[in-house]
Amino acid sequence: MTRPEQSGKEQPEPEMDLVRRYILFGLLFRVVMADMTSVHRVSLKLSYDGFFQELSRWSERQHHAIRRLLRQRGCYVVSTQKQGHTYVVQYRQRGYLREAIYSIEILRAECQELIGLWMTGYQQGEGTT
Amino acid sequence: MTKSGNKRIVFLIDMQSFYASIEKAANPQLRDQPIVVAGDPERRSGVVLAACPIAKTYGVVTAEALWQAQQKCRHLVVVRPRMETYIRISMQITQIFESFTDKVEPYSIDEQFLDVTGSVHLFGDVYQMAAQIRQRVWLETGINCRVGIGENKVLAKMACDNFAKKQEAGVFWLKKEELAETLWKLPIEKLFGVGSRMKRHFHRMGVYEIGQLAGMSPAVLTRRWGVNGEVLWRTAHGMDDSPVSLNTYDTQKGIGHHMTLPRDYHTAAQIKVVLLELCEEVCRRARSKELMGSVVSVGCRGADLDAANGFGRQLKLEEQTNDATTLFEAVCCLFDRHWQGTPVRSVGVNLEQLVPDNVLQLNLFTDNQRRRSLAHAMDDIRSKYGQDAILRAASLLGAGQAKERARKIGGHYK
Repeated sequence: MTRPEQSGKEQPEPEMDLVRRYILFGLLFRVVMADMTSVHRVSLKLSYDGFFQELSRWSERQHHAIRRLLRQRGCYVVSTQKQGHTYVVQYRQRGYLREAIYSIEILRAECQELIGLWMTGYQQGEGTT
Repeated sequence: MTKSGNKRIVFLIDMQSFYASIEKAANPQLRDQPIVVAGDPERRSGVVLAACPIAKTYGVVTAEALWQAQQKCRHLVVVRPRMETYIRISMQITQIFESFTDKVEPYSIDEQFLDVTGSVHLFGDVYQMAAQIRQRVWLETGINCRVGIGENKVLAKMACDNFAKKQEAGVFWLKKEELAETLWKLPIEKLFGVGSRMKRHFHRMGVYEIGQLAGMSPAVLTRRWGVNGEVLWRTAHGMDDSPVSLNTYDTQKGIGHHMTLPRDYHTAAQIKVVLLELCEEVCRRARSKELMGSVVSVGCRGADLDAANGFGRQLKLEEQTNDATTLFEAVCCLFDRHWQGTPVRSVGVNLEQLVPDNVLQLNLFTDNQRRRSLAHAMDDIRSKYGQDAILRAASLLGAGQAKERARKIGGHYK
């Protein structure tokens, strides 16, 4: 997504963005693993297996890298919960308990975007970086 | 309270192209395309409810006919509205705002007032707080919002509409002491509460800028427009004491329902079918709020909504009612008296002077108790099985709209 303009007087918080990316990659690697299980029923399963494995590994690595970054900044995700059409995340940031309420529809769209991003990198031979 | 002399800090937060932004966020393939959310794309009917910024660069504007928008931009992507989703996301945004302050007042589906006087110090300064709100809304819903800041609701609203929306930064603080350099230089129609008709009145008086209005005596304006004249003068001076509160809409003065028809209706029989459906809807809402009213008003307008070719009249009933049949009789009386046979495209019915419905005037000639029981039974069926579970036979005629509107919210697809 293209970020909205910021005025010079504001200081946006990078943790909010990191938490969102942490959640997205976390969801993606789990979803890919779940999808891989359903693909095991089709005849070309061995051909698809590598693709799914690679994508899941990439997103899991990103997920853990962002978690490390968050911890360095004193930020920990405390709980995640699906509530109706939203995905509610509570995280502790420098002692304060904060909350993020994501629209599930948007998370799904952003996961699609991440897969597109990975595919582009993969085609250019950067899939595993 | 802040250090600067008991001044409040009020935000008006407006979502940019709300419906279109939701569709773009939910569908990444649409993000680089000009899109509009509009009526029914297959029937090419309806008006543009929201146009994305890319579509706006082609000259597409909100509320214009879909076919006109498609002529301006040949590769325009038309998306069908999903009102339930939009309402849900609006409530999600309210929830986000409530983590910044407990004083949140939804003003419309895409605009909300926040009184942050007591909580701003927790988030740094005013600009940092506005930035955090914008960032959260962006990251959690994919919508870009703009923040107008003022010491009251009117200033915040005008800060957003006239400045924040026009600037890349998306945040503007309209200060009362700087009105002469900011607001007063704008044309009169930019003042909150001045529409196209009021603008014509002001132009006839030689008032073209907000500053000229602010310089007038409030007595002159009161003589001309009564209390509304004084309100405009106060608005020009950035004066407004109304609190940011959810209770603003608690006192209801009237219950009304309005419908824009899919085509012109030419005969009284056709129009009365729609009037009956409107009466049903108005009375259903009145019953759900346990209210009844004693003044009914009817409005009918032609396809050219700008031209004054319709009528709007009201009638005092003999006794208060929330019964559709009684209301319909009064509505028909007004309609027969004032309709001049011109084609009708838009109709509305209003019930005013509301009182609680816990008393019932007994009548020797009609069994009001029986009518009331019947109405409540119909309400129960509708609330359990849907709006079109029980309909009047007239609604099955070609002119009837009730069945189609049961699939919609506010006239737009769910």
